[in-house]
Amino acid sequence: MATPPEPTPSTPGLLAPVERIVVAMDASAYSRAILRTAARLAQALDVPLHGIYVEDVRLLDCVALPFVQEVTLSGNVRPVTPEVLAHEMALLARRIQGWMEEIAASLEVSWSFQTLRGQVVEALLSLVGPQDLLSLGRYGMPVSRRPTRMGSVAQAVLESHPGPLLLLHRELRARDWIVAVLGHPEDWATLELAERLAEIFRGTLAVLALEAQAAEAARHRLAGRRVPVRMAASLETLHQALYELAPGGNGLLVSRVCPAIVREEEWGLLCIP
Amino acid sequence: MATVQSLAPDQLYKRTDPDQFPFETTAQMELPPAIVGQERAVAAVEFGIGIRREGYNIYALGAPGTGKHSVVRRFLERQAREEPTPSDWCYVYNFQVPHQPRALELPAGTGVALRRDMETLVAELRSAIPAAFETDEYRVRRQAIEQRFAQQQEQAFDALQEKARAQGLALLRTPAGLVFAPLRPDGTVMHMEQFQQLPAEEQERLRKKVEAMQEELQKVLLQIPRWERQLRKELRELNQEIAQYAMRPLFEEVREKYRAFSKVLDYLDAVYADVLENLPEFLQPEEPRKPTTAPLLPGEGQRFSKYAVNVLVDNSRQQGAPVVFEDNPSLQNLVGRMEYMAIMGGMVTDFSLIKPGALHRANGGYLMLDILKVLAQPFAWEGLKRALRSKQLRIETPGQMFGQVNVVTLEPEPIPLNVKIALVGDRTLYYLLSALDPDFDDLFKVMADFNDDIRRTPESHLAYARLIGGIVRDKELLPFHRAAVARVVDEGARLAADGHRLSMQVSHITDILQEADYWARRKGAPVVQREHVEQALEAQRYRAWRVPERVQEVILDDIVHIRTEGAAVGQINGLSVIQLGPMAFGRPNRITARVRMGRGEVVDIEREVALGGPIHSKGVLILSSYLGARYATDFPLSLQASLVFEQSYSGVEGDSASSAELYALLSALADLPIRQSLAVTGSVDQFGNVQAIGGVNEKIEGFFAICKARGLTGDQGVLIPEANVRHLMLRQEVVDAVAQGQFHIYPIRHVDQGIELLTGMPAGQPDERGDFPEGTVNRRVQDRLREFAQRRAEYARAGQEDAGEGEGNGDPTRAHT
Repeated sequence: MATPPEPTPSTPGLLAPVERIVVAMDASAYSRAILRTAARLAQALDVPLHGIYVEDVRLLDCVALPFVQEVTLSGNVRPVTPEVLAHEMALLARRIQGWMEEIAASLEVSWSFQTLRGQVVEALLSLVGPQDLLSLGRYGMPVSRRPTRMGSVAQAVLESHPGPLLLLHRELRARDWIVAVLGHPEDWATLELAERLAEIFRGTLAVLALEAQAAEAARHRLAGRRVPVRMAASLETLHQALYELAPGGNGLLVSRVCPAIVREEEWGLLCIP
Repeated sequence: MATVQSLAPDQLYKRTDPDQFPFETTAQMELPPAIVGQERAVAAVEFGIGIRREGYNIYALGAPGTGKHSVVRRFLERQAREEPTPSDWCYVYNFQVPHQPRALELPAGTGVALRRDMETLVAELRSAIPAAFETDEYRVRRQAIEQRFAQQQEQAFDALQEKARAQGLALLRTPAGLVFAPLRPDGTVMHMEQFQQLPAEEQERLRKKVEAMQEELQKVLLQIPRWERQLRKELRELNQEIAQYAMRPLFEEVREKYRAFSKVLDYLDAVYADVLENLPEFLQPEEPRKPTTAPLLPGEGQRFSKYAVNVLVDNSRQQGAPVVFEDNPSLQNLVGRMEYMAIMGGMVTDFSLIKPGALHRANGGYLMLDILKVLAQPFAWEGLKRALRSKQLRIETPGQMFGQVNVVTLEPEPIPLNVKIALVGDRTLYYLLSALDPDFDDLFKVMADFNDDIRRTPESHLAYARLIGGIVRDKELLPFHRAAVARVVDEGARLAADGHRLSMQVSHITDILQEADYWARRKGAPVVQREHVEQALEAQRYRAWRVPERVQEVILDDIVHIRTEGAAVGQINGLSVIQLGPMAFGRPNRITARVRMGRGEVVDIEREVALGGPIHSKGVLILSSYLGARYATDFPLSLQASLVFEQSYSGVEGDSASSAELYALLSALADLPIRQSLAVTGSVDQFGNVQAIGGVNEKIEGFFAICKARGLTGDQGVLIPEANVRHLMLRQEVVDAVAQGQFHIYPIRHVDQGIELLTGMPAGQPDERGDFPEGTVNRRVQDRLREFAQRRAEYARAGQEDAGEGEGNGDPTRAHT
């Protein structure tokens, strides 16, 4: 059996390069829960919180057409003009800003808020850089109450955002699993970040290694601590390994290989570039 | 003149001979303490206990202190020991009708067990149910259901989106809903200008496509609530299946234990169903309540209280049937009550706040009540009767009974009532209730009438001694010497106010025994002797004798004029008794009479000023009749006389002074002085016969005390009805004075005897014409009355019929003298 490599000293303040946390928000209940998680992270990292609401220009163009009507979630049809829609979007933006103010004040986090108009993905990406941790809802604005599939905005941002990305569908709670998904043996940055997050959110730390060596190295590094370590032989078996690690539970996956694990629908994702 | 002989000393006090007792001290008495002289009452109590028919409840009546309580209790307890221990009763939550808690009957001792079992069951459910929901099986199955549901929705939307995309439309989310946007070939949303550039047919085609998709979207959206309902149903079924897996063995264990009790099994089924319906309650962690002064909020800290068992009646320690005495028989203490808690400014209650009453505790046994206390409590008597009539225990507030309920309250299921009531009270209340309450005779058919006293015989002496011995033993007193016992027996006769009877006021006898024991112990005596009993009686008298002493003082100080020597016309010493609590004492009263011509009336001044009672007035009216019939058979009784209790400022009642009043009248009419060294008591009939009165001993002693204080002359004494001689139980000092010839007690049968003693002149007997001989009291009286008649006739002839009878005309007697 190969001797596991000596752990390299942890990078102090892994997320130190993060200069702010940007939260993309909409009218869903998820948004508010995600905002609370982002605010707690901003508080822990001592960085400002910036909220964004994008008024989707496609909607405004669309409702200008005379025959396009809105079907409400309760199944009713109502005519909507661009003016009405713009007014409703403005109201929504004010409400979101109110949430931010309330949550940031309760955690004593500095904050700002911005409304943009344009294509949502483009607008978001135009605003954030590699030092911004971008946080948004994993499912977008759900139609059903129990969505399982990643929203189109989240999917697009995942592929294009150069910095860290936090995709959630609910607030992180105490005792949630914080699982470091290690793609290679010395991915200590991912592990340390997961450890830090577990500390911040009082979560339960676990490790899922995609290589045997990574698993061995993690076990060695975590020796003496009651941190479960599992190995997934391939991406196909990752789901089974995750279930064995935390049956029925969920929480947050912290990984550098996010695009490969996005099918884990119940879990939040923190993707590190 | 036939002289009435003064009574001999041995007629003044009927002494009990200690030598008749076959023991030296009560310690040697082997006989068990007997119930003395209450054979009739005992037979009634035994009958009342034995008969098991509706309405045969007992009313024990008699004077206070006659041992009604202890006798009834003793018999009830003896009977109760032989009877089976009654059931426990519990109240539990009614899951169907929450405001009507259900009553459960269980064998004695099982109520507490059920309460404990339910507490254990709930505690186990609170750990077993969450544990069942923590299993992998549950998580996986729940996830599967939720995912299936989510996929169902997403598939519907996917299909819709796919169809839209195929038609060149995109489904977009707005803040409040969804829209279908027509797309350009490059995939961007079509602008208005671009739309307007389309040919009209194309525009129409696009409009129709969008409208059709909108309709399809509506259909999908309208499906969602149905899917949600289905999801909730499936999740609920899953939850119940998982929970039942944990619950069933726990419930089965309890069901097995109570399988003989169908009502308990029904209750357990209801609990089971309720737990299944309220599983989230069992999945929430119990958060400890922080110490605070804030009021408890509804439901806070009592999530599981509805599964509790309120053991209303716990007979686990009861052996035989219960005998309960309720000392404070308020309505609520009898029939139970519902307590309320103030929560958020409102008054709330639940089944756990139902409290039992005495009827609950006595159910299946016996309940003793003091009727006076029951009647003194608002609604208690009505509540008791209602329970007995309906044979049910229904807990209601007075407000509910009278339909005036203004708070949310409960209607607990009534409990069957099977109880024997023993009321204890005095005779007056018994007869009043019997006369005025139509229910009373139906509900209390057994009258146990306790004797106030018993005939004094050698046998009863011995029985009384046994009673004393029993009290001495029960109260753990020093042994009583037989002489002391004899003295207590004597006191029993004194209490009965009859030398030939013995009082059954056991409480008073007990007091004497305990106090005699006290004095004996103070002197270090091993045995209570007669002198200790004497000391106890003297001490009792001394403690209570402040008022009598004060009354005597004002007489001795001549503030109240009572003469004990010399003679006076129309003035006599009457005697009265004043009752002060348990103590009675006698005092002399100066009664005066004035006479004049009139219409044959004797005016009772006491009655005129509303100080005389009806019996006293009756006595005075009898005097008019006597005078008329005895002295004025052939001429009009033309007398106007007035009688007064001098210096009496409170009411006068009773007819025991009527003989004294007659003597005063005769003295006034005959103008003969009466010996003031004598006092008189006794009532008189229309024929002049002197009749028995009450309180003779106290009256004699009251006058004796004044005479003694002024110095006994040998001329002083008291005239008493001959019929009262048997009642004499006088104090030793009076007996001694009589023995030494310093005081006299004269038994009088007829007023003629009394007037002779009082005036020293023969009374005189009438001849065949009704005339009395010269030189007699009666002749003088008759002459005076005839004179009044003649004068009145003269006035009538002169047309002055009313002269001398109007107010302010002065004293006609004096005027005519």
